[in-house]
Order: sequence, then structure tokens, then C-alpha cells
Amino acid sequence: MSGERQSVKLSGAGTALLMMLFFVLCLTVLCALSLLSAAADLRLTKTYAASVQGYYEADAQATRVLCELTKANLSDPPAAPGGTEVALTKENGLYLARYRCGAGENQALYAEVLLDSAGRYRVLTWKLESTLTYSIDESIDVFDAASDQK
Amino acid sequence: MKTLPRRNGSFLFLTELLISILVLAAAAALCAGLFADARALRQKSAALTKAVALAENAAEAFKGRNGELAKLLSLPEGETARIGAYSLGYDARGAACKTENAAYVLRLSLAEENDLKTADIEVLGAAGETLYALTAQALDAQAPNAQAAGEAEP
Repeated sequence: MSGERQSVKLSGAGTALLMMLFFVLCLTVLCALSLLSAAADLRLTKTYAASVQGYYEADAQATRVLCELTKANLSDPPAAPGGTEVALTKENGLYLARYRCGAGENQALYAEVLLDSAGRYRVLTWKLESTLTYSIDESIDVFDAASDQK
Repeated sequence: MKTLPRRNGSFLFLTELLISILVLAAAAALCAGLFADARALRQKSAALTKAVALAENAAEAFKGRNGELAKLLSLPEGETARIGAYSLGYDARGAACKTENAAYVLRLSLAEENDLKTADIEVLGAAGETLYALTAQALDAQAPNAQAAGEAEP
């Protein structure tokens, strides 16, 4: 038989390196994801902690305003009790006080309190509300059962 | 046809294996350090979450009525919280325990001025570091101007 038979011999060289590279890649990706996830979790927790602190600061401010209102002469009320603007209206011998205290960047504590001239009070509203302005998207006709029945 | 001596082929494979192991060990050491950092971040996040929950609970008990704060402080029946400082210990799961063995220590400082009660709430970690702090205020329910249910009618 003439000619030399050439055979391609599959060599094992490089297999270990390939496997190692694959393993290192997987390990690196897993490690990076773990670190990013933990950092994101901590960031979220800090945001929540700040919002709780903001709420209680606003609550304390609103309580101080209420305390000053209970002691003030409501027929001649102070301009800004506790450093907060208060809208005071009189109805049937009682005074309705409305005011807001900022609680962080996008929220405020809104309070409505009914007071009498003796300084006794009843809290009607004490809630957080958003201070962001937004516009409702009404470009799409959405099903509304109430209007459908008309 | 000349072939590589068997000896040189083995040498090449061994060299490659050695380099692979070295690179793998270096990568594993680096990743182990990063995993440790991730674990520390998770522990910090868990501690802060727990501290916020404890502080919020104490603040709501302070602002609540019917002796909520007395229940939190485990005071004898009929006794109310007085002006001063209180310390409460909590273990890692949030159950009350002695402050000496506590994972979290809740420190309450009560003050009063002109019918306005103030509670400075601070949560400390096992090493004594401040994890979280907030201040709550409430009107004194015993003051003459206190809310009387149904009396301030529109």
C-alpha cells in the first residue's frame, strides 16, 4: 500500500483547561450575583429605615402643632403654631384645623383635628399622603362597570 | 513519521493541569472573599430590618393607649412608665431576654414637657453600636386638654 495513512488523533491537551475556565466563569458569575443581591437588599432596607424615620419626624411635628393648638386662643390663633401653617375654620362653635408636615421627599402627614374653645380635640384624619404630582393616563378606554350600567 | 515522545506529552498535560489548578485556586480564593463580603452585607441588612421593627413597635406602644407601653416594659399591673430610661433586651429571633445576653438592646428615654411626652428610642447591636434611632412624641393623655371621646362633636 502506498502513502502514509494519516490519522487524526484526538489529544486530551486543553480539556482540563477548558473545564477549569468554565468552572471559574460559573463561580465568578455566582459570586457577582450574590454580592449584587446583598447590596441591593441593604440599599432597600436603608431606604425603608429612612422612610420610617421620616414618618415619625412628621408625626412628632404634627403632635407639637396639635399641642400648641390645644393651648392657643383659637379665636385669635397664632400664625404658624409649631412652625407649620394651619388652616383654621370655624363650624358650629368648633374649630377645624388642617395642616401638613413633610415626611421625607415625596410624602407628607396630613392632619385634620376638631377643637373646641376649651382645648379639647378629636383627630379626624391623620394619614400619610403623596406629594408627587402625577397625571392619570386616560388615553385607553378601560372597562368601567359603573358607567356600563348607565 | 515521527511522533512526540510519550514523556513530553505527559509533561505538557501535567503543566497544563498545574496551571489550571493554580488559576482555579486563585479564583476560588477571590470568590471566597467576595462571598464573605456578601454574607456581611446580608447580616447587616437583617440586623437593620430587625432594629427598625423593634423601634417601630416601641414607638407605637408609646403612642398607644391602655397601657401599651407598660405592657411592652412588662411593668406590674397598674403601674405606668415614668420619666427616665428603660432598657429591653431581645435575642436574635426577637424574643425578650436579659440585656446581658441580648443580640439587640432597645433603649427608651422618656421625657415630658408641657403636656408633650417624648420618647427617644434607640436600638443597639450586640457590640453596643447604634443600629437605629427615632423619636416619637405624644400628647399626655392625663392632661386637662386630653381628648374626651364624643365631647368634641361637630
